[in-house]
Amino acid sequence: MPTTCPSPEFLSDLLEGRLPAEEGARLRTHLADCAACRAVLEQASDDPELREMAARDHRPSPYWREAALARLIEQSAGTSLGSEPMAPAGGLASLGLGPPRVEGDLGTLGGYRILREFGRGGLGVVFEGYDQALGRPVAIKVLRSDRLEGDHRRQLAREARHAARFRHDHVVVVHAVEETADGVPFIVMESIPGPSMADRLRELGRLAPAEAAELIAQAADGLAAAHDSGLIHRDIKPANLLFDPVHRRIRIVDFGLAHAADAPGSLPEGTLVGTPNYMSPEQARGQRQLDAQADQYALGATLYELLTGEPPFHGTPARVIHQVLEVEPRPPRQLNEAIPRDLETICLKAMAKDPRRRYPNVAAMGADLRRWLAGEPIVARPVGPMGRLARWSRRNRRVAALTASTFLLLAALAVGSLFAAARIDRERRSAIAERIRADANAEQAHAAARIAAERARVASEQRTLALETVSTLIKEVQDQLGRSAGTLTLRGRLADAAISRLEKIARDPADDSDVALARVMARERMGELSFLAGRTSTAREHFRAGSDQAAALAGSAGGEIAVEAGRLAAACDDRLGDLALYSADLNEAGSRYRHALERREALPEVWRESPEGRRGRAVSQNKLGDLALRLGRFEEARASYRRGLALTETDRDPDAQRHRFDLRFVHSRLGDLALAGCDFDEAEREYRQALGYAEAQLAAQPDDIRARREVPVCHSRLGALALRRADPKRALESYQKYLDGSEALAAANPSSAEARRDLLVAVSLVADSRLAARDYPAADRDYRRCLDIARALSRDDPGSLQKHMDIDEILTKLADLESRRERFDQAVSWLEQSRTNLRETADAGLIAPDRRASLDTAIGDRLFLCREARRALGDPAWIATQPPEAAKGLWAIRALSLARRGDLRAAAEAAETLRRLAPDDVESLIVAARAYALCLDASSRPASPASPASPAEAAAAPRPRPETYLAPALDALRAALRRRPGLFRGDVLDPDLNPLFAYPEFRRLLTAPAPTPPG
Amino acid sequence: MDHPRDEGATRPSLLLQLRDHSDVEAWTTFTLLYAPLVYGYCRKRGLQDADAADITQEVLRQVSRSIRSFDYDPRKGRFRDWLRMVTRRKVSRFLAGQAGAELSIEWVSPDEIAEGPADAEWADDFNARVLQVALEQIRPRFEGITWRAFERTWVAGADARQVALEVGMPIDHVYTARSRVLKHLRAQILLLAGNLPHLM
Repeated sequence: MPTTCPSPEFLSDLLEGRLPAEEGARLRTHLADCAACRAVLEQASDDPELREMAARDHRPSPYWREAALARLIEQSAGTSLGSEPMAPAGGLASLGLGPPRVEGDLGTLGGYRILREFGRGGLGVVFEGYDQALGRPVAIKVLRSDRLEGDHRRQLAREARHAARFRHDHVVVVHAVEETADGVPFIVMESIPGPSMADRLRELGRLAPAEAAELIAQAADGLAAAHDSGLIHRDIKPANLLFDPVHRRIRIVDFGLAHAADAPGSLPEGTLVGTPNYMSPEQARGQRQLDAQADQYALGATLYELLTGEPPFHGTPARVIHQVLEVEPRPPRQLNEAIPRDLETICLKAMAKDPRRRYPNVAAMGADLRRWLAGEPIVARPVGPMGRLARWSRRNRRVAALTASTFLLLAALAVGSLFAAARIDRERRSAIAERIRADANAEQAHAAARIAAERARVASEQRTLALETVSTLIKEVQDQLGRSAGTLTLRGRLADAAISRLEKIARDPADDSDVALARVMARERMGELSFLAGRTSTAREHFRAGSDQAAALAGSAGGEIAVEAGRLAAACDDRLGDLALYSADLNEAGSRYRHALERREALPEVWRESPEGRRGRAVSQNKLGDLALRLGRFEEARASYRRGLALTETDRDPDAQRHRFDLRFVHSRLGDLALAGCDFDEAEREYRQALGYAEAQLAAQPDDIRARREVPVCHSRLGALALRRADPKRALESYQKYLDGSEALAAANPSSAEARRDLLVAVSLVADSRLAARDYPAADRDYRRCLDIARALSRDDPGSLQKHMDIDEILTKLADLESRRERFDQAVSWLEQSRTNLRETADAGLIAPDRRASLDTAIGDRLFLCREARRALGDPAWIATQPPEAAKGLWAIRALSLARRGDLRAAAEAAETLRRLAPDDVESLIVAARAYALCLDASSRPASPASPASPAEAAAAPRPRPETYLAPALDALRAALRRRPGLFRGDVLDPDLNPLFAYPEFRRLLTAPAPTPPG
Repeated sequence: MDHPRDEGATRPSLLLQLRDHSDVEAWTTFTLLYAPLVYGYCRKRGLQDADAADITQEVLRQVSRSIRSFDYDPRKGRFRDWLRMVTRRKVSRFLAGQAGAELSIEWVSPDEIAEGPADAEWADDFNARVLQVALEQIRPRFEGITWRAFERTWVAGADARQVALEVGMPIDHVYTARSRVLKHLRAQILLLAGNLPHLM
């Protein structure tokens, strides 16, 4: 039973999203019963003007479709030979045509109806035909018998058959090669109604540069594939490139025909096949053995003509041939300044007189065109940074330029008629609607409608401006950021440009929930852009503001706006959590992640249980799992991951790729978890499962960059597992697979910063496993390579803190490596570089002053230790005179170095002193344990005569038994563990500790459950 | 802050964007929007496909020039009417020329085209085209579920209660969805055409 009806104002508030969600929910029951209120809402949520626009029949004009199709058929007249000079031809009879079977036809040929003539050229006549057996239109090329004699005709047919076996998206399909009863060969091809490029040139004069580049790039794809299967075209020219309007792509026609026709003896000596305008110099010289480079020249000449509207050379055939051989073509930009310089470069490179100076193959030419189209630097010639930026910003225009008239016509056709179908339905229902309206209080309804309409009008303009900017701009920017190519500096600039426009929206003061939503969206996008560009503090500000505003909006608005606001708030909180996690603020991270999850759980069920909603909750669970893992709370982490996995597994995400990715992710994480809990077998199982998903993904999408990255990443986890199991050999194997994958990706995407960073990580992990295997020279070589990569990355993106920290990490590793080899001078030089790097980073404003000071001190301490290491090794008494902090470090160096040298007694003494001196310092305790472990290792192998340890001592006293060192090592580790529970979980241990893995006591120590910390 | 509102001047409509020569995107949208309209008009006037296509090209070129040189002034009238006038003139001129060459003058008179019932038809076609394109353009801004709710209630005229059941969303959300999409649609139409049927 209807309760009291709400006021019209209340209802219009509902529509404007100004009501809290509970109000909407309360109203729901009322609305279900009250036809009057529904009628009010129906009218208030309507727009009479739009209704009027929609009220008419909106089927596209009947002329339109017919006309567009008719034009396409007409354009088909240009197939292949249309632009050839008309050769004096014999009558149709000379072609062996049979009498027509259908009135209006020209005749028949085998099982084909010949409908009309398309055109004729040097080799034959092309007809529009119809395959009666298969009921499809075809193009039929009849080779003119008067121009070809017996053997050559057969050779030509052979060649055409060869071409017929080749299939490619950008090549016109040859259906069959047949002969008439009189032995006249004819070729049956796919009928491509589209205009040839020669037709387009006639129609437009010349093409827009981007369109020309796109079309030639497509042709290059087709040619490259043909070249790979040994086919050479030999007669590439605008007339042989057809635009296929159905698939909207370029199709090359007449493959191999010129080749066969030009075979020795097939035509009188000296007869040139092919239009001289597109003929390569080698072809013009009469060279018979042409290779693919001749096609590249012809494609370059075609590009030249598409760009400039003129062939590269003019005049009589003889004159053209002379010029082809002797004269450089006029640079296209002299003919048309609007042609971009790089496109000119590409065109002229392909047309180089010396085939060796062209691109190595047509595929390379195509790739360079695509680079240009993507706004990336081309390889044909280096370009300056300004040029690069200009091209980058031109990117999004490319699509627009491509939609030149032909494309446009079809695009217009494709815009469907939503209304035509709905109209009948609407008419059927209007009777019902009328009845409901009659029930309603008419006056009330009108009042509400007026209020709503008025409010809508006032706000609409500003809102449109805002939302329009947000939706188009964000899409643009994301598209561009999403592509892997391009340097990070450019990304940064792009992000800045986008942010400055988004700022305007974020500051829009309008008091309207839709605008408020746009504001929040803008904040979230700005945060994301800053985050992606590596600007963490700016990102944090944006996300904070976004989260607060979104939360407020979710509380005050109703309906859908509240839902979107809730989702945005969760997205902001996720990122705030990530940022907190990066800066090791684990409490903040936890609270943000939990917030995000709560917000997602609180969404109405429709959204919560939708694939998107479930995925969002899975993301939340996984992030909470990550955090718990980081905190050493393994059970909690496992529970979160399992919940995430359950959401992911049962979710039928329509995006299969993303679904596999999510599954891969969770299994990887469960593997990490098992690894941290030292359940190595379980870890192996999870990692293998993850690898399975990654491999399935790769099989499904072998060319997808992300898919190609996943498999190596899984190998890297298996490498980590092996390293943790103290099995450097297997670690190296797995990491090597990771490295191979990363190398391949980086080579395929030389301009991708992500790919290069991935490579950096891979090389450094390989180096780590070499270090663990004590292959120091190899580790040294790999770390130096890392340093080169890291420096190059930082040069490309000087504003990124992460890149600077990468350099620092590698420098630290190098210093550590050199310390292990007792090459302390070298270590000092690495540390000095590290300090310089730190100062530069701080000067660039990337490190806060207080943090700078503490980092600087830390490096200073390490420098001191390396400088004084020799003295510490020679003079233990001197160490005693040093202040306690310095003494600790010096004893540590002494303990480790002497243990490595095999001077076990002195090493053990130093370790003992260290433990005594710093009984509460976790780092020192671990160093002591490492020293004991090294001693244990040394004492368990036969003494080597080449050992640099003091041979006198080795001879004088029998070496202690290995177990002598086990107890103190375990003691030191236990002490460290008491002070920092969970210390050994998760992290890879220093390889010095590897010898301890042979002892079950040690393994038990690692897996001991983390006791709750005191207090 | 409180300037009197000047509708035509402040709106960043497609037409104003076109004045910027380099705005390729605006021009593409413009062509996509109006080429079929002009073409259809020509065909209805009995022009052959090729001629209709030529005239369409010419009209669009003329519009481009006029907008850039401020020949078209939004304050003087609706763009819709102005576009029709440009098209009509081109068609008349073409038919007159053709008539002189090949046909008897009685075949069609330019005056006949100028006035009459064609105007209502033009307006309908114009509106239909703008609405179609606007719908396509705003669609990606919405969740699938929101769009379905809108389509079912507003386009198909289905009962909100039933739509709520169909798409699985509370009934109040169906109304807010419908209201939101319409606001975007309205704004988009203003952006595209610079006017609504009764606005100016």
